[in-house]
Amino acid sequence: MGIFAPAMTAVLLLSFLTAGTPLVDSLFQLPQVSITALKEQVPEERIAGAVSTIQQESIKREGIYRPNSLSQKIPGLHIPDYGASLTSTVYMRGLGSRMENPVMGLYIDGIPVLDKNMYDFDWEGISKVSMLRGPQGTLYGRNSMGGVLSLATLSPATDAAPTFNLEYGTANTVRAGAAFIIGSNALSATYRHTDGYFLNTFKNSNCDPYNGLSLRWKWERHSGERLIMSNLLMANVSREGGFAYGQWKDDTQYPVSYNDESGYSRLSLIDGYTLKYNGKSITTQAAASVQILADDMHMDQDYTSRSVFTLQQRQNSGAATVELSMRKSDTRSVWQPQTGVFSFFKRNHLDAPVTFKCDGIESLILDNANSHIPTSMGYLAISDMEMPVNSCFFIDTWNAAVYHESVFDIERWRLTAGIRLDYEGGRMDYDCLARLNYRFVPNMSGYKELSVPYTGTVSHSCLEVIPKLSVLFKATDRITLYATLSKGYRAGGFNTQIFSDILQNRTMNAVMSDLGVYLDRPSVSVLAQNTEYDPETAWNMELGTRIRKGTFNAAFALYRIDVQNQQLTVFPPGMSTGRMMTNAGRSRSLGAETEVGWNRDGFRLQFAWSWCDARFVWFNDGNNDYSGNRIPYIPEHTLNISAGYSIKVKDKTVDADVTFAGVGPFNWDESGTRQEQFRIRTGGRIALVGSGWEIYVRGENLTNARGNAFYFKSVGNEFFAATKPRMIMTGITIKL
Amino acid sequence: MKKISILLLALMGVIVSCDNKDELNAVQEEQKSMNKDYLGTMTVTFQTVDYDTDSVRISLTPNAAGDSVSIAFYQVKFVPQMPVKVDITVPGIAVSKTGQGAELFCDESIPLSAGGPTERYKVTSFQGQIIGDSISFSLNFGSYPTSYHGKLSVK
Repeated sequence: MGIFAPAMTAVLLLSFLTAGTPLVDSLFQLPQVSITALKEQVPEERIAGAVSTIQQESIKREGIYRPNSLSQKIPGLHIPDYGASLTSTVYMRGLGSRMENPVMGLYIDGIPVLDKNMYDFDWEGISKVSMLRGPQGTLYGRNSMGGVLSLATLSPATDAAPTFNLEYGTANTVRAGAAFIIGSNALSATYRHTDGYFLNTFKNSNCDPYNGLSLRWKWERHSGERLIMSNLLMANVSREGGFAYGQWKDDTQYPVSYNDESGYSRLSLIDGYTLKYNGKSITTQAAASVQILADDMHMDQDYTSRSVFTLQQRQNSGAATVELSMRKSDTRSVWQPQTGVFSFFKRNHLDAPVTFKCDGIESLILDNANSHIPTSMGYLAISDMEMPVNSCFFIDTWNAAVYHESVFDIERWRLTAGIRLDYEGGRMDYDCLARLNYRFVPNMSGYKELSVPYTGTVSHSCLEVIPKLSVLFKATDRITLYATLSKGYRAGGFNTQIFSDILQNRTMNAVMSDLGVYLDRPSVSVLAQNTEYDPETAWNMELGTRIRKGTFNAAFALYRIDVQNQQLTVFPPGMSTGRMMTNAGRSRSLGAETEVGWNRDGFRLQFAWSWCDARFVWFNDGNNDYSGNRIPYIPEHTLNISAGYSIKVKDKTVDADVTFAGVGPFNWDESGTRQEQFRIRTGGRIALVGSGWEIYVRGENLTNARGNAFYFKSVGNEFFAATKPRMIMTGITIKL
Repeated sequence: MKKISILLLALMGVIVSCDNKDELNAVQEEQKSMNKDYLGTMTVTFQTVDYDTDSVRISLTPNAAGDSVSIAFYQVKFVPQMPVKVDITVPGIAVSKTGQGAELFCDESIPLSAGGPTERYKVTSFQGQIIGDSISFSLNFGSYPTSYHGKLSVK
């Protein structure tokens, strides 16, 4: 907290030095061209918080076609590229984990995307990407603890020319896209195929091929001067390979080699209707959406050539959201209030059978049980070659919130105060069954079938109060200073992944009870209730400044985030099995972020850097105390430097751009025994631009730098997912 | 005469069926009276040292004829070093009623545990008695001399 006192003094001093310079009123007016993608009542450059914006031209030039592509371009944002579309975890400002609920909200044209399994998709025809960094709970509610990513799609009102692009490159990767406007409709489509980058040596075929198609139809209509209506329909279908995880053993990285099927397929549909009415005194904005997700994941859970166990996860979910907000139409008044209500309901049907195969039955079940039984007594045997443990869940989630924000413009000062009351409830019906045929040798002459059902219901609810306070001071026409205090929260829920642990232990306990043999150790009795976890909350204190002079713009931010009720997976005291959920952790992040952009006479420069020190204040998982340790997977630095130059050659233009993107170092585990160093990946692009066409060659990771994107442990084995190798792509874009 | 004979025959039939019913009821009562749980102390002698285990629950289950019982021991360890507890049932304990309760005896029986017969703990020289609410008996579980003293427990 010591750095904030002198910084706040500097803010106040500057305010006195620059007092008297008149305000430019127009800068505080909200553009009325189309429905606003963000909920803030002011232009982005006047938001009292850290905001990153990437415009259409940069999206195209830097090859940003999915959320992962934004990593490091937005300071502090790290979305590692590994696994499949459903596994992408978002890390921002020291926040993020592999739990079900993300720390970053995603909005597309003002429509919230509820399920993080729908976050990773390819896009075409995006006019702007905006990222509000830091907790945004007051206006955006749940799962915006690290920030909100907002995508603005191409609007029919812009009357942009139809655009087609085709790209081909490494790993037989093809990417084709089209975006065009017909009357009140903006249509886009994008298709991507890749053969994959990583060989599964066991199957002698690539484990990560990808095929995906995204379609979008946006209809927008202006009725008179006051009414704007819009409907956005998005569909995404993908079929992709599995998870390129290679074992790390004896200080050696082994290639990917596993024998069971792994892959992911997904169908997602979002339809969102938005209406904005600019009344004489009140502007009303309403949005409603329906969201459908059907996906199917298969995973060789041990990732080895042995037949230990596999996981399948099939989801069918449907959700509906609705939001209504009202604000003053006169944006020049001193007091600008905004009040809104939000609600959603989601139902998820999840089937997640875990199948223990012959090696897994031997090593995970029988060896474990027989190690406690005297050999003179006998031993347990199972006749099944495969033992499925079936789990079926129906999970309902509902939410209702009301929020208010008031903005006061007093000369050079803008004061913002807001509050949100957010109620959320959830219910999980579970229906699980394990079945096996066992025999105790030599007592039993034959095998006996045993069924172990486990059914029930768990529910929870919570009420969060989410305030916000900020002050923005326009020191000069070029310099803006701000300070903000905001809260965010990540929703609670039910960790269904733990159920395999619960059922494994219940099955063993049932076998032993059926036999009348009782192991001389405390029995693991983690129940379904132990999978439930409450929301975690974060407070953000931030100071920042923005500077703009001509084509030069820069932004700096310092922040501290304190997380309470952190969602953790722990073991029961004294046990090394039987994971359970708890809200017992506390952590904090200290950080600094900066963005600089400049262009002149064909030369352009973009610089984005962040430093983050994220540590556990308190974390004990039942076996080890990690208090004071760095939070795993959170990079200490993110860096992105992009420089480019455009030169006219006769009636054509040659564009040349180079990018250096760096991330790290970070710890792979809570103890800090495994670490990833800071690594830089170099990219570049050369394009020949004519009238209505463009031919280019671009590359990612041109130096073929080696590194790791992900680390985990499974049944005592360690695995890494490598970062992608060098990729060279060549493409053509045509604008009619 | 014929009518009287028929009447006498019928009466005899009723008397016999009543006797049978009474006998059946007596057997059922006998079974009910033997179907009991006890809580007590089990003592196992291992290498000349006596090991006591308190709060050992046993359950007596009579057979259909009511002339023998099975005794089930729940979650017992024969020696403290044993890393597991077991449920073990000794079948075929003969029962002989006495004025105060019953005598229990059995020369040899193969107990059942862990799903089947357990030769390792073959029961020999079983002798015991039930007097009022108390039960006591001694036996050999394999090579382990064992005794038990218990009181009636609510089933």
